[in-house]
Amino acid sequence: MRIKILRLFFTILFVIVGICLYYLQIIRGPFYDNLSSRNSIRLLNIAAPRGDIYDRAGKLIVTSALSFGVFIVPQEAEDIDAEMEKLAAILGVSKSLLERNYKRNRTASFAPCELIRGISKKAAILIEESRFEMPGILVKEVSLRDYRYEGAFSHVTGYIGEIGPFELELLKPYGYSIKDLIGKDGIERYCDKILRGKNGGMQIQVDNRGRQVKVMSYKKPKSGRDIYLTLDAGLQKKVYDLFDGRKGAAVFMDPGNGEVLCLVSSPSYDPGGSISDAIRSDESPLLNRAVMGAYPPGSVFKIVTAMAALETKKIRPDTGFVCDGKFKIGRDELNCWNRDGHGYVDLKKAIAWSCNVYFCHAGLMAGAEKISEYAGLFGLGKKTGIELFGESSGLVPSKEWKRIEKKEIWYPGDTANFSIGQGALLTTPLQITRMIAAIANSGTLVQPHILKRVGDAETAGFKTENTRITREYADAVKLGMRMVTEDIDGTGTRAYSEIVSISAKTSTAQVRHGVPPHGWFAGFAPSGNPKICFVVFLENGGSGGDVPAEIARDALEYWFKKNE
Amino acid sequence: MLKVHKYKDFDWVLVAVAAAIFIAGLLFLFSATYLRNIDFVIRQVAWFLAGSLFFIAMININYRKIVSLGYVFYSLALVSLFFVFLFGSKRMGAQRWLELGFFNFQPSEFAKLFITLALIQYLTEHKAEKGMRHITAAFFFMLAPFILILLQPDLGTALMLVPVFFTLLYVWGAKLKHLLFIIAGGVALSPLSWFLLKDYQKERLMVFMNPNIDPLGAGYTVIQSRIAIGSGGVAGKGWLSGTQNQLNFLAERHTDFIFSVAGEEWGFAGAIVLLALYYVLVRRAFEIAGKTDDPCGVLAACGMAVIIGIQVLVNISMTMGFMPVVGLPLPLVSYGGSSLLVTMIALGILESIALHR
Repeated sequence: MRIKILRLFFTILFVIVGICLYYLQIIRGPFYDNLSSRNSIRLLNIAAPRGDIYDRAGKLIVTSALSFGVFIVPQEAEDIDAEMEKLAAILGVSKSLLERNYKRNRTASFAPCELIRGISKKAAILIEESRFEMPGILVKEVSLRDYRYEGAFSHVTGYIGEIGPFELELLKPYGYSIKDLIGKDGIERYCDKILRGKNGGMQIQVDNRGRQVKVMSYKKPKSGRDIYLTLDAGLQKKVYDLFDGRKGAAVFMDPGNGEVLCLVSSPSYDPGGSISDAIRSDESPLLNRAVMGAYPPGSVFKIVTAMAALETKKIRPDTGFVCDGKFKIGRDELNCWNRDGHGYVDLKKAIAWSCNVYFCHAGLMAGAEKISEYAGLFGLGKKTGIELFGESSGLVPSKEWKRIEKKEIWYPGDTANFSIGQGALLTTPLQITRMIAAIANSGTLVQPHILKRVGDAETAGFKTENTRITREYADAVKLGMRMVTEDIDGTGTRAYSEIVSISAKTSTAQVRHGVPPHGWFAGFAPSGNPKICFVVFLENGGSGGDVPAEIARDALEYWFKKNE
Repeated sequence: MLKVHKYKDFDWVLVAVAAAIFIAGLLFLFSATYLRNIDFVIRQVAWFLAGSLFFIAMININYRKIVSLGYVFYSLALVSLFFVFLFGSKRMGAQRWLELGFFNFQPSEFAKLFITLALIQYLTEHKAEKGMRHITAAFFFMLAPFILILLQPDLGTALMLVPVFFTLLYVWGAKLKHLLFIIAGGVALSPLSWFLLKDYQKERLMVFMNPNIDPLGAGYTVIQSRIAIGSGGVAGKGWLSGTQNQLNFLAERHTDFIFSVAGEEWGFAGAIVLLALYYVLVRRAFEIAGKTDDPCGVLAACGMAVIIGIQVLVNISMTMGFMPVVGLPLPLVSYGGSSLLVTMIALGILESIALHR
């Protein structure tokens, strides 16, 4: 009897253990299976080679160059400390730098951890020769972003850097992961998904000490695609050099289709160098003055005033006004830059000589609303939509704007100021280029863009708008612009060229007392059959007819000589 | 004819089940060790052959003779335990082994069996009077080796003696109120034992309560073992394919934790069959006890059943993390000569009881 009870007791115990087994293996099985996979499977990222960036003719601007990096594989090293000390001695760098990088980059015992990159080939060979002393050290070719033109293209290409926490949060659903290098500005950022390709990876099985046992699966990285820009590397470099570090911006564009041939902002920075140094600089080199900077346009804007007055039939191309050097509005007086007065001027002379009095008359006749309307028609006051970040929309004032924003009434004096491009009006150099293009092509507002081709696919879908301006009026304005460089008294005679006929408009925009004015020189060439339009802008650079005109002339002569 | 007659009551099921368990155990042991050293399997087979000789010797000796040598074994056990205490080699913080030249002898494994045999002898000799006097004597009889084993420290073996003691007294016919009295006394004294426990044993108990106290230290073995068994799922990861096993996440996986290899690679299907085989083994032992009229045979058969059964239950429960890690091997499967030898002797005694009823 007692034996039977004992047997039953043991039977119950075995059943309980069986139930525990069932619970652990069947009910909790998936949970523990996951834990066991996490124990033994690690993922190793393999970066995809980033795509190159070329100019319109296929000239290399940005590429990923091979360089040498030194890595340490913790599981292979016998004495990590000693090996780093030897390495520091060979490279002539401090050991603490290597240690810092080791701490920062180490992920797993089997994963090569980068200690330093960009070492010379000679140093790489030296390390390879003493590898037997440092079994954990590994020299590998690493990809470094190589910006061939240093500062010349910085504001178009942008630069790359390690992904930030905010960007990571945003981009995680698109396959971005921690420590990824991503485009931080310009095309590098705009086209990041195209350029970066798809990272590959390895699933590695590791043992209890984290050592690699075998590769379970391998996914080949997919290289990024190349990008072709509309820019011309030669022209870009030429203009960048002509700026010689002066503060300002220049845009050269095909007026027919909006392809930007050159977009320079100065001063610039080396996208392959230290970005934090650039950020700290007083010159704000990271600012893309061509699209982010909004400045008073000054006399360049007179073209818009002229078109507004012409289209509303307030003036005709042969309408004349007498300029005696000043213009009276109520009790205020607005001076022409020529205090002696220009005398009797018609439209073309008014443009050629940049007569303020003429455009005050014309502007007041057209009215502020019409000028605002035409400014809008020419694309001012709104973003152009170019493939660059931080574009400014500028500002086109109006009566409503002043009432709402400034809580003030719009005076006739405001209209007069507006007519000659002063006052609250702000434009970016790119917007002015686009406006000039619409005059040059007699009425089509193009979409400025810098992407020409992605891999083998031409970019398309750039919108153009018809401004519906009258060709006759545009021609009248063009005639005046031609006289700017070719009339003996024109404001831009310094841009006169024997090689190509240049039509332009100078501008010397007042900023505030005691600060040199902004100089603008905007136009197109050749005068008869515009192939290129341009803006050269110097921030606090003085008269538009001086240095800006000379830069424009030199650049255009370079361009037309090259494309003869 | 005589020979056939002599072995007609031989329990073939018991032997077949034991052989099946041992063969499965060799497969687990191979999987757990072949990457490091094939010697483990070879040595285990050698021990099995040695054990077979003992087994054959046992079935041909009347178990009564073996039981009547109980006090001799008891003395041997005490002496060897005392030797361990004086000269034993230390492994993993415990002093359990005697180095005897060609092999390392683990007296506490033998003590399980020898002390049980001695207790059986004592109870058989005093089967007439089942009062408190003999129960108390039996208690002190057990106390001396219990303390010696506990001091090694070998918590598992020491605690093994407790169910053996109670089972044998129960089968012997002790009054339930006497047993309850002893149990009450034991429970009352148990807080004292906390002071007898070594630090690592206290730690193990604490870690059993919550393995995450020390996931990389004392808790590591249990956590990884639990993960291994759990991740085996229904069908297991396949022989030689357990990641926990082959990638070294399991500690002591060829000895006390070998069940985690079985659970991981053979899954629930394999593990439950193994458990069932053990159940059949223990059940056969009780059936042998049931068929025997001799009180000595009943006590001996039940003693062997408890020695084997408790080790199986405690070992499997501890590898699953449902019991504290106490260091008991899985009979016939865990690597180790002493344990294998003792189990095979126990099986031999069971067959002897079946044959000499």
